[in-house]
Amino acid sequence: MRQLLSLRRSLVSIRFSSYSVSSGATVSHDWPNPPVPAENVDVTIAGGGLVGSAMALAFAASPFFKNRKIVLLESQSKLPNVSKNQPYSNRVCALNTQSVNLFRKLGAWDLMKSVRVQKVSRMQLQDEKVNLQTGLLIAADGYQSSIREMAGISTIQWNYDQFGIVATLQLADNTPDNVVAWQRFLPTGPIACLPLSNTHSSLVWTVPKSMHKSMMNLTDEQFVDEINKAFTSDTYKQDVVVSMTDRLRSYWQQIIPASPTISQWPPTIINIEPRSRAAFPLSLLNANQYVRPRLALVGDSAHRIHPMAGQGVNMGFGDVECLVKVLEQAVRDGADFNSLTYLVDYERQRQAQCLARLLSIDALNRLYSTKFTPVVALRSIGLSFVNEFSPFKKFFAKQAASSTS
Amino acid sequence: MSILFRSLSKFLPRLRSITVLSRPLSVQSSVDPDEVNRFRQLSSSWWNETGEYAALHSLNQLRIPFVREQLLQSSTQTNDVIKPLKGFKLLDVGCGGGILSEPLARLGASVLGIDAVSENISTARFHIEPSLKHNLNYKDVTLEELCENVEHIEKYDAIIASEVVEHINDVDSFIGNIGKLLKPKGLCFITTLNQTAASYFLGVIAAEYIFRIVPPGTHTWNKFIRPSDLVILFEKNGFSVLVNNGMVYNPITNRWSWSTSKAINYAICAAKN
Repeated sequence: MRQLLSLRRSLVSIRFSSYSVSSGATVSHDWPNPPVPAENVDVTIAGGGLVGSAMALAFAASPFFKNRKIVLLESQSKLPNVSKNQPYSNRVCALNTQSVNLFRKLGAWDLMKSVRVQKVSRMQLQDEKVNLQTGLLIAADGYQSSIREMAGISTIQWNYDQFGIVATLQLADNTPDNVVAWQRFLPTGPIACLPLSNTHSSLVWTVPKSMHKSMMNLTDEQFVDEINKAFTSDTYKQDVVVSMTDRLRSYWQQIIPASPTISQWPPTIINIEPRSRAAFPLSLLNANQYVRPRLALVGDSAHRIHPMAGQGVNMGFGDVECLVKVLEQAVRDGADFNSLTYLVDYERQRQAQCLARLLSIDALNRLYSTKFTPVVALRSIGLSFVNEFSPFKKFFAKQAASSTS
Repeated sequence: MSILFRSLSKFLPRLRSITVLSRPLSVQSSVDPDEVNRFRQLSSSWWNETGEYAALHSLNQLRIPFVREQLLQSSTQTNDVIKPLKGFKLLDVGCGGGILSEPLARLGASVLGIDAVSENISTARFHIEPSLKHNLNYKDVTLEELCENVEHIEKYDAIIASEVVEHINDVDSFIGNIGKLLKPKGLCFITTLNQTAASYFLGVIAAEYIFRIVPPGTHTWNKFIRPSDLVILFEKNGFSVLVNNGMVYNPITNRWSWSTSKAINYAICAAKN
């Protein structure tokens, strides 16, 4: 995916009601006598972020759900203003091929590409306490999911000793076509720069916990200096490793023809967008169960990954695609779409794929966090080899893009 | 030695004889009273998808598409995607708690479920959701009793007897009765167990005592019927067999799949001539 976009909560014309509820909303299972007259709905999606909205859109676009009542719950009562002229948000994601195909299928891709506001019809924004009785609850409420906690679903999780710092960067005027995503593995953590347009890029910088406060306290100019230094400085390279890599490279280039690699310098940053710098703690999380009777977890509430490979929200979109496919199959088979048999099908497919990805990115993080020279040598040589030997490079690129073709 | 052999011989599995091949069975009803008693005790756990009937719930993933596709192939109606079986009249024989009847009704068909055990019928009726009340009905009768009611003769587009004939004494007259209730060119669907060594060790012993997929004592191997015998009975009663496929169950994942082997479970679809 050469062009990366800033995806905010742009809602298209969807036949569903959106309620704004206080963040103190509770989920209770009162049966058979709820205390207050409740509204009956078929599916409730808790959380109107990227994944929750995509889930709602997927239901709206599915012919099997056209007669169902779908409710999306979101705690922010203001619809974000999506426009080409507004500054970019500092939360950016890279969409892989699978996600793009999903949005193309849902009819949202053209809108997302143009980043224009489209009138949303049949939306009700209400700031009241609502009592809902739902057939199926889909939890899309992030990695600290309160629904998951309330359901008592245990998780495997550990904190990385790292924080992720994000910012929107302004590039120097003489930057050529800004279509390359950069990532450099520093001993302190990877720093990545994702292109937004020819003048702007998005920063995702993983730093150790001990460093993040000082990074946040720097002035904008000092911060920009740090970023430029991180991308270009050679102080991080170990001489032994560099010479070893060069020597090995000269050997294998005599045997294996090196595919031409285009060398480009990383972009020079001149400024950051005001107030776009933010930091958040990083952790890995995987819920031990993705489903319960009448409950399904999607997105970060089910699994949370290190941001270094840009996989997090793509895994969430993968969940959306899988869950809708499974539920459509349930409807085609005449089953009650809350049927646990079908929810378990979703869980089995997604847990296998997500856990594998979580753990391999975790391993990669560990590999790149060490300064131990032999390991550094091995990984440098490995990376150069992959970079120059095109079948390998294609394989890894395809994995990252999750393209099924 | 011979005395020992004689006392042991009653434990040898007896091959089930078909009426058309040997001795006559004069039974008024195809229902066995012991079978009826066994199911009475189990009626309360029908709708727990992870309970005793988990395998029947997951079998829906195979048998609903099977019924749906065969019915849609034989008809020229244009269908809507959510209720493709609208306009079809179906009879579910031995419906139990309604595990198969409900999805069929949800797909738009007008379904009658019958079962000899009245507790099953009460369970099934209790479970009907409001949106299905107008096209899903249950009756506490046997197939023979239904045949005596002139209203039901030649009324149904399809009759499904899934996991039922292995509990029945006289399969020949059972199929004959099904033929009476079907419209001409109507379809009959049967899923059942084969009578082989594999079905004894895996379908009875392993399923009932080791994996506990079904409660012990659910099945009597002597009553299992071979696909070839069932085909003969169908043809004798004026049917042509359209589909005859094996099914296999994975007890670890609780999932069924179609198989080329009919050694344990199989499904037949036959059309009335």
